[in-house]
Amino acid sequence: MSNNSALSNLASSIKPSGAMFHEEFTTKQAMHYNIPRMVVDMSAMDETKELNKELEFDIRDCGDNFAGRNSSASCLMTKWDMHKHYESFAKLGKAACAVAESGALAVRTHADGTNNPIKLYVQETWGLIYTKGHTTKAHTHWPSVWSYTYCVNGEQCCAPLVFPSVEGGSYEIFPATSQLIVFPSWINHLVPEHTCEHERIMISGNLDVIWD
Amino acid sequence: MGLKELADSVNRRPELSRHPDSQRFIQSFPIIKVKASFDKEFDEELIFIIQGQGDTQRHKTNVKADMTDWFMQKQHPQFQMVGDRAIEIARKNSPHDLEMELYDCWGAIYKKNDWTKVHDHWPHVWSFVYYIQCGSNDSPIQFPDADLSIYPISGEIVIFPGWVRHKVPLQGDDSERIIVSGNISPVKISF
Repeated sequence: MSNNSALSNLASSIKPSGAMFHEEFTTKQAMHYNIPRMVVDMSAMDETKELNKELEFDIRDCGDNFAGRNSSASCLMTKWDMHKHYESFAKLGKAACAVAESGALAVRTHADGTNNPIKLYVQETWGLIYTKGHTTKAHTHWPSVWSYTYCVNGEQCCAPLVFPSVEGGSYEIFPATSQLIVFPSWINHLVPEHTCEHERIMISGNLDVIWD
Repeated sequence: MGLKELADSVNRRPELSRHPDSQRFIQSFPIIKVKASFDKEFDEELIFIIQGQGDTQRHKTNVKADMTDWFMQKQHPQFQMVGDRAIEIARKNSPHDLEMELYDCWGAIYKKNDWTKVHDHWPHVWSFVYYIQCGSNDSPIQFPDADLSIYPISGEIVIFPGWVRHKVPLQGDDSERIIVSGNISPVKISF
């Protein structure tokens, strides 16, 4: 299997319960990550309004690629490699890479000690349209490095993105149009039932490292 | 605002995982500990190579012990063989099938009072340590965020996700703790 297609099997291989690993190998670990720092309002970008229109159009153009449902998400979901077919998804992926590259979790150097920035690429990206009653089960995107979500159309009343493994209770981020959220792929996340009458239109994606 | 300004707006700070505002996530992760099943002659070859190279890194990395070059698999196929075994274990324990390769692989010899600073191997997918020669009183590998210590047993290999922090406390014993470590990543793709 090529690397390009390997992560395309993600949805089918993630355990339905959201558990990643066999229990006998599992150890609980506390990890820290500052989620609010990587929530970016892209509405100030010159192209955002036009981009949102294109993204929505392209999602509808592609349609539901998981009508038989083999995904954590119960809503309309496009194919995984939208960035290869639609310029709008490629553009958004570049923005997600730029944000993630600015928030590297570790510094990498060359053998001579000079800085060797970690460059990223879009491994996969897809679009989703939630209507009333739709949810996404808890899951992670590891072994990708970074994951992102982008809100094409949503409001504070829509179902939030929930990180359920935060100590002392879950952490929720309510959507806002043009909001980009970048987070490490190992963080468990879900979307509870969408209860609004209007559509919650989202893009998700995974970023991986361009290794030297 | 363009892409550069967008990235800059994130307010570059290295404390994404250590900032006071950061959330504490309690999640499960795998640590796999298995017999590597290499024979004695193979282990002796590894030890000979590691001892022969000496302390190339001069204690300047996180490893405060004698340490070889980072990319030993490029010079010595024995290191690639250890990496291949680790990849085999990683593939069995990854959430889905993923083509992986050995990125780097090095040897180290811990003597009395040697140690390793707490660190992780992000953004590598998996990291591993192979215990070639270890005594019963040798220092464990410790995962401080999980309050977990694994004591080394000669011939065993331990693999864990690259983002998991770990360290080795002071080696208190006079015996030499000899290991091979490395990182595993998805196969490179060309652009």
